[in-house]
Amino acid sequence: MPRASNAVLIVLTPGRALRWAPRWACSPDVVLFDASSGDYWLLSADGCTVIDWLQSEPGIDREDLLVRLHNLTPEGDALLGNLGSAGLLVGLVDGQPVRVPCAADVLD
Amino acid sequence: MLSVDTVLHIAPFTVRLRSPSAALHGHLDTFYAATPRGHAGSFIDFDIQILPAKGARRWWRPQARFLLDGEEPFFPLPAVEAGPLFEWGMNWCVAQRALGLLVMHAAVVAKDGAAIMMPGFPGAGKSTLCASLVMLDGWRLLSDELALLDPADGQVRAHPRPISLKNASIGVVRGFAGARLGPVYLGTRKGDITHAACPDESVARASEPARVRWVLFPRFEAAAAPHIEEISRSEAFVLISEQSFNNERMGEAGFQALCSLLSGARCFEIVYGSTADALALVRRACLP
Repeated sequence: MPRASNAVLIVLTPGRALRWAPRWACSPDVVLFDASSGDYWLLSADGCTVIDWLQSEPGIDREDLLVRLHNLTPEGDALLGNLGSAGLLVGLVDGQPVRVPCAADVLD
Repeated sequence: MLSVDTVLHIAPFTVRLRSPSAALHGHLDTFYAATPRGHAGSFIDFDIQILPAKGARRWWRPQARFLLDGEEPFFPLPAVEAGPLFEWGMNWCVAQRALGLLVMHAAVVAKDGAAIMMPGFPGAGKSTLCASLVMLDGWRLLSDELALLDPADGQVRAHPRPISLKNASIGVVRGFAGARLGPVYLGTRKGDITHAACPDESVARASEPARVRWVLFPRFEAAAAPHIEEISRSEAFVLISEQSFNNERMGEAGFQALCSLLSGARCFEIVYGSTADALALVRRACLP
């Protein structure tokens, strides 16, 4: 039986050294670079917002994050799942890393 | 007795080259006559030898081996291809060991200190377009193959070497006034190949860096109508990163340098079906 989703703390994947490219006016998407691995991502404005939040706070409860995201996008759950799949976010349950849950996990 | 034992300053690198190969000797005579020579005490970036294969391969279908610092990083090639082997080996050396420079698979040409960078995707026509800009439109060749971005000042370094041509592009470039091509190597791993000499003026001005003001992603399509479209810098970042050899190793310094380059450049995709169309598009987009 999965744990309740509100027990999941969302954090940035440890070990990364994330750097933003300039927010060029010509592009709606923003490049995020990991100076540790050389990985890079092209993030939507909403994706950038999530990363910004998690750069200024050490971790945010998943349910709180979804509430905040609700004002930005109806796809907040999918967005978190995508950022998790991309290796930018992980969940923590009792301090143990878990995959960022998506709606399907919560319905189980 | 060695046919070749020389130190070449192929900016920004110093290369010691030793080989008994007559084919390589001819390649140097054709393409590196104007390249400055170093002296025995020079600091050497790449110590290269091109040697005959061992055993029966020395005599039967003879082969040439490429050695860097005494190590052999790839398989030998037919001995007659010693010249192309040197060129491919140099590309490998620069891509793997150009310390402190972000190395990207791209051609670079410049006028009045303003450069066009053309990241290369196989078959895109990068080398043909590069040759036409240099030989027909008076652009200075910085490199046909490897863009070297220096994070220290955000400029690209010249690395003047012959332009590599393949298959149909050989006939196209042969028709350019002033083009000087070497022998054609038929049926190599990359098809039929040859090289076009880098203009002496580009060699003489190899110490002059340039700042990238345009990034072009060329695409040759036979019989295509000419088309140009500006793309976002973020999209260009992704496309360029796919063509970078050492962005992981360069880390934050390389990332910041590339962002800085893009902040000062406009980026375009161009599609063309002929050299004339390509030159017209570039003239429209890239006004120094």
